[in-house]
Amino acid sequence: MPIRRAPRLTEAEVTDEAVYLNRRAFLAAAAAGAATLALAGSQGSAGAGAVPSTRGPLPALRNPRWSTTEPTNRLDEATTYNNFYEFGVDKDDPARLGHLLHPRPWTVQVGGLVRKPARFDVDDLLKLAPLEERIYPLRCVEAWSMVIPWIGYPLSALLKRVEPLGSATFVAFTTLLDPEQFPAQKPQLLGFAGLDWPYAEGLRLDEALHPLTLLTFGMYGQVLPNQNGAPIRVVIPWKYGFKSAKSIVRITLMREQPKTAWNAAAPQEYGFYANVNPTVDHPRWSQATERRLGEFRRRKTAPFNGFADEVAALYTGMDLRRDY
Amino acid sequence: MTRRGRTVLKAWVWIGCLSPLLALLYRYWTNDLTANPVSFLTNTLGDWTLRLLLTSLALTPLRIMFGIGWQMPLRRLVGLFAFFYASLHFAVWLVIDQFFDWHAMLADILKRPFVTAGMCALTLLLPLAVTSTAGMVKRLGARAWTRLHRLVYVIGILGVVHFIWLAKVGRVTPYSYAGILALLLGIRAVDMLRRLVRRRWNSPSHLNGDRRMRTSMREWARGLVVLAGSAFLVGGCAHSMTADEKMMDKGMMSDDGGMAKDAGMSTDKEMMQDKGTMQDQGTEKK
Ligand code: HEM
Repeated sequence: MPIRRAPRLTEAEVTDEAVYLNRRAFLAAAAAGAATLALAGSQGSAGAGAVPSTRGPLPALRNPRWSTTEPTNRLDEATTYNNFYEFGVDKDDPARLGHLLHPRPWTVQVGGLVRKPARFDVDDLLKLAPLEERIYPLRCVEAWSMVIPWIGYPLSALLKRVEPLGSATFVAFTTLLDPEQFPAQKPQLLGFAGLDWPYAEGLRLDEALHPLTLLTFGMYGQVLPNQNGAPIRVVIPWKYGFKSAKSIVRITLMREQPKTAWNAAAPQEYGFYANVNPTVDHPRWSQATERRLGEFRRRKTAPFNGFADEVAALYTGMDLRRDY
Repeated sequence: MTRRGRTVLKAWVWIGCLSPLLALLYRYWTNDLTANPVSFLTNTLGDWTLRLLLTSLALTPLRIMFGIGWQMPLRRLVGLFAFFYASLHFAVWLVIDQFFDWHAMLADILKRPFVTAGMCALTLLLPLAVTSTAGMVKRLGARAWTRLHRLVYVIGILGVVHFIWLAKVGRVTPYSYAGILALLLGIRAVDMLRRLVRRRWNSPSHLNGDRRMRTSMREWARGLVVLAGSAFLVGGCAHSMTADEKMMDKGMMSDDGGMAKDAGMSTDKEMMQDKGTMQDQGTEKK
């Protein structure tokens, strides 16, 4: 039976570091050229041709300060085994139906309790701060994990740009709502929906400003594939994967804790904080161990997914058994 | 049916029941067991356990509804294949997933209701498999044997409950299985009641309360239990559906085709209103 699939990227298609270093030099030159053009009064937007839109390499330098040294998973593992309920509940739905999503043109509205709310084009966001490669383990709440080289910059760069008001204490992320592009957002048979659309996630502001919280545009040296949350998502490596909202259209700063999708659907199973915590089990399975994709034996899960030194201080005085 | 016909039929059942396993082996050879082979194996084997279990439970209702009988001798074979897949399903969990971590497994069996239900189902399947031979039927006596094998209804319910309890919010499949099981058990229950009513009206026994009368009372009770079980399952489905009705209403809004990239401002405004953070909404417009 022929199955229509979103294009699969192979390892060979991933640019290796030497190549994207060259490309970086090339881009710098292109940008300089564009600047001259701009001086000459041209309306051409810098790098429109050079910066890739929906596919292709995305140059970035690895930031070892915030990267794990663990070996990364294969690209095809990260693009064929996904939870992205907008496409369907099965792990292969996102790869199968990802082609329905159109990641350009795309804008992100950043507002709420900020001094300078704005709507950004995603191609402008790409240039807001230098892109870095960060290698993070991704721990799913379902007790499996992968190690992925993401490309982006700290979310704090964007948040600082819009100048949060003193009253802002939380950040809400909203995923695109469009049943044409996300087929599972269509009314389901007999009303089985599961999640309330659009997908909503959120962080406390201090979590959102933490240097580990990455506003993400790519992975494996490439622009984000659709099934991984193109064109823009967040990655919060010390929390279960569902916290890392994908295909974001809106970022809202607010005073109260935002309603979040999985928490609303099953509050006793998915907390707002959802920090990776081997001592707090999911009601239906243990979180003490996980299966790293590609490994035979289960491995022990690390508190905060291995980032305890960096983030544990955010939660001093909190009872993480209650605020799971 | 001729003997030859029966042999051919059985051969097809063997092929049909083994093909899911062959498909898995093929995917193993071609390195196509997904990025998470353990989970894929567990789930595929679990799916086929339940499908075969429900198939074996569907053969009698086929006779009741349509009066066809050629499939009746296949019940044992299909049931045994269900047991075979259940054992493989369990073996993957035991050997590959938990790797004989007895402590973790015991904790799972005691603490996780879905594992408890699965374990009960497998444990109850064991005596049925052991007593499936003709010799065993003889040794137990047909009545005791039949009574023992009614456990399969309980196993079916446990299997479906196992699936419902392990499935994440939003999965429809476990409820479709529950619906099918409720239908299959419901057909039996109605048939049993109908037969009882007919027997009572045709016999003079209801006048003097003889032994047959008492038997029929017991069968009534049994019918009611089956009926209550089906009602429980149907009720479970209905419950989960009404819980989701709210979302369907929401989902209807997507009929408004105008929502493209900007993702329905109205919806989001409502959301914000809930949260009482309207102050800056005005400034957000651009
Ligand atoms: C008659 C007995 C059983 C039946 C009919 C059955 C059926 C199923 C089904 C239908 C699934 C889900 C497949 C899917 O998601 O597509 C499943 C998953 C599973 N079953 Fe069973 N099962 C049985 C016994 C057991 C036993 C004895 C165990 C182990 C103690 C077990 C452990 C599991 C596990 C660990 C999963 C995967 C859960 C997950 O991925 O979260 N099952 N089973």
